[in-house]
Amino acid sequence: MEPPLTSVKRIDGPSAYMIRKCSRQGESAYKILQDSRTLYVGNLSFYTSEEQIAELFKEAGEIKRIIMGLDRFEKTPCGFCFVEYFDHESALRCLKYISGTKLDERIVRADLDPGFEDGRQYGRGTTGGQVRDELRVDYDPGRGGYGKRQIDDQEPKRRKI
Amino acid sequence: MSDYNRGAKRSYEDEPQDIRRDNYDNNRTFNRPKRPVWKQAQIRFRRGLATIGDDTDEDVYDHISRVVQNIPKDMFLPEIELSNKKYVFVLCKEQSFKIPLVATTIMSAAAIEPKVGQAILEELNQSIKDALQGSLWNDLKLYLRFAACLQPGLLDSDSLLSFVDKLTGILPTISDQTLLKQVSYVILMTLPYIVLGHRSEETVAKVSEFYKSITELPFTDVSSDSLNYPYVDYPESEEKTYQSPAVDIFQSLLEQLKEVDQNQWNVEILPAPWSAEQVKLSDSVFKLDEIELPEVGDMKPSEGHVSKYGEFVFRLFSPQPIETTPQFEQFACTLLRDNAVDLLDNLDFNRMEVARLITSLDLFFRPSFFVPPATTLDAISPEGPTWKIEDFVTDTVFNQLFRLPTPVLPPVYYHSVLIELCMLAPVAIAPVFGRAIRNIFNNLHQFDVDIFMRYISWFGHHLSNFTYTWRWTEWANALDLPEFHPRRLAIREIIAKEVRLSFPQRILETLPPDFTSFVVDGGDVEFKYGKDDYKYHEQGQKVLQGIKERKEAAEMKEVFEEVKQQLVDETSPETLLIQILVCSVCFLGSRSLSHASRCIERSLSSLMAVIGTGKESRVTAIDSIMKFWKDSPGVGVQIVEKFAAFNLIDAVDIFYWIFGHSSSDYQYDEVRHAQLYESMLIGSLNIWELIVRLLNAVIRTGKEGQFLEIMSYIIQDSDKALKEEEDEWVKWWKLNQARSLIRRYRETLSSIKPKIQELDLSSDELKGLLEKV
Repeated sequence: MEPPLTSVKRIDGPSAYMIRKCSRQGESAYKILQDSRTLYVGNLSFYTSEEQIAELFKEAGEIKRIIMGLDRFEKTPCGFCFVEYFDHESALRCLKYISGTKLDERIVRADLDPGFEDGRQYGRGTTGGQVRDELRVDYDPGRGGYGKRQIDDQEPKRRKI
Repeated sequence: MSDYNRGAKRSYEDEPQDIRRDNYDNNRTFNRPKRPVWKQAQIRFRRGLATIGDDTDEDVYDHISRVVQNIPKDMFLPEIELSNKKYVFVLCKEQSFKIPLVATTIMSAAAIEPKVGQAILEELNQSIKDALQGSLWNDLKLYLRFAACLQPGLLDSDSLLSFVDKLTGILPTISDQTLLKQVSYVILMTLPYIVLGHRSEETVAKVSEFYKSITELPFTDVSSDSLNYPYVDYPESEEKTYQSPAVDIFQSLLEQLKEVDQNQWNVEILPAPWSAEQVKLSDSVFKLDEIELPEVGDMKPSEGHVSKYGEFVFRLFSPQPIETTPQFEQFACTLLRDNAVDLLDNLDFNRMEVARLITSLDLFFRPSFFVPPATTLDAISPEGPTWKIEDFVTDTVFNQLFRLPTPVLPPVYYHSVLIELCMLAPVAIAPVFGRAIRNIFNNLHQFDVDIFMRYISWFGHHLSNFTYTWRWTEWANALDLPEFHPRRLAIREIIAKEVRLSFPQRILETLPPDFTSFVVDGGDVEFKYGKDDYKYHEQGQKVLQGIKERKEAAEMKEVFEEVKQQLVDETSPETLLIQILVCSVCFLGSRSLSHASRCIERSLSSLMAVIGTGKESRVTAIDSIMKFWKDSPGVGVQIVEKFAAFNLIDAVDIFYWIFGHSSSDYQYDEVRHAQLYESMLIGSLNIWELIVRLLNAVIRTGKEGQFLEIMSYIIQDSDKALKEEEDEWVKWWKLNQARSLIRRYRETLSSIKPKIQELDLSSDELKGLLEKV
């Protein structure tokens, strides 16, 4: 399946990450995501609440549910969420009109998602949060300060025997 | 990197450490497979056409001659021939202002290779047929525009004229006003381009004849039907302010063309790039097919701009010493707006490109009309050109956002375009936005309620993208206005919207001291039954514990019976029980929406048993939710909708709560912000959006009975307020809110008109509004 013919790039298509991920499974991202009603939303502040997300994302269509991304150990928000709409068109509208604008003064990024499954609400990093928060080297007050790995580096390491 | 050998396999081991790239490097150029020839050709073909006129550094004719060299060899590669042909038309549709340039390029390419011309003509015929079959009137307009621009070197003018003649010929047989206007609009907007592409005495005479025959058609006069008009009356106590004129697009187009007709259809602003010296056109002439028109009965009005009720546009800026946007009397006004709106509508899937292209729209028309971008107002000289592209763009996008009854695309799209515009050229755009924001704000009392709400919603959202920076102090005098004055309410609502998108402490940081009273920072939610000294403390705790321990429905029933027994001396133990239960559920689910959802789900059977189906008890439940969330009505509304999603209450109950009840039924002593609670229902964006959402859902599910009941509440509430209310601004709100809703749901209302007219109304204004349905 090919993206539709347009004179400029559509911003409501799957991201390069999703295309790569799907192609590893041997499927076209456009096919897998053609009816998707769920969006992954990233780069949220840890302090952004579900109500705030609903207030912005309802502009694209009626929301079925919001699943906050949580730290695997602490069970606190860790900066991402899944927004599930009632129809595919709302998800596309969200990509076109909301993804890339600010929520809580951070540019949020949405991506089509094949659908939520239990367990995906948890961060996959070794410290419980998202992987990107471990690799980060900048200071980001909305996402827990410095990257986790940097903090760990400062602590003396024990050698494995 | 001179030794860098593209495409060759490299050994990682030999590579110096700093050049080696890691797995995350997306820019790596080594071992990337070379693109196949057809892919390269496709990119060259598409990019060449799509960027015509975009680059201000390169002369557009140089660009065209460069592109023209490649077209004959790129276009017909077997893998991409079909998509290339289609691409030309996609481009014409999505970026309609480039049509004259695209046509010039195609005609030049046809001069080198006649096959190009033939291929495009075949596709043109097909596209026009498809647009006719699908009743896609806007597409038809753009394909005809392209056809008109192909006249100088490719298309036989007579064949185009005979097609337009045929289309004009069927107009008198169309009875549907919307369809009639839409098809007429297509023809009217094509006529100037026909003369532009082929100027001769016969063409002008013919075009003039088409125009005259269209003016004689029986169009309904929309000026008498004021429902779509953006302005409303306001109390006499308010100072008279200037009202920018508002005109119906279709009506004004008919007027504007009168002058164009007298001028021999000479439209100065239209460019004719094909007549430049550098351009060599082909000699081959193709004819447009004899296209059969579909039966009039098979034609449908499209979901477009032009409708039988009219589409009014108004001037965003109050009169300035120098006019920075085209006047309504000029055809250029409609022409530019048409091009900008087509771009907004057809390219909605890439708002960044829309923002970039719409601010360079002036480059695609003749120079000498617009001042250079980012010229400040005082730098414009009255002698030279005076139009400012930033003003024009702002005016157009806001008019689309404020379009009545509803915008063509969701309002949030226009929000995002305005955000992109602001990011693209902050220095040039910000002062223009400032003028627009102030001008609308100062005139809020004369705008329709729907426009008021869209303005609030946009401004709050916009500020949330730009660090909530606004010079609030300049609106300080609005704080002294009566409580329900639209300007004062606008401030309250903008701040409330900001708080909903953010949190109270953050918004407090951005406000001057006078304005902080609008922010309600309740801190943590309060469970009143949890306080030891509260009258019903014991009962509250019992219910709360019951839910916490996840007792079975039967056990909960016992708890409720016990509580009722204890309250038997009170006037209404049932009501108190509902309040206690709903309040407990709200409290347990107060951490987030998901918690609330789960909590409602868990105690669903108890809630159903206690609340039941009675209207009064359901209203009590809604009331308890809103009282619990009195400091964050935004969350309150979301919880109310959750209750509705679980079928504990329905839309009618919510409307009964908003409109049906009389305020004397309520004890305000419990509510800390009693006044706020009462006034929350008037002029509130939050409630307005809830109303619209609920009504849309009712219509979607086809519940006609519910719709009738709800509309009766709204209309009767408005009627009552007009009769009894003393505050003139409350009257203003109630009347205009009903007006907006009647307009929004006009089509559905017209099907139940007799039933609505049975309502016993005392207000002549309301009766007049319902007459128009």
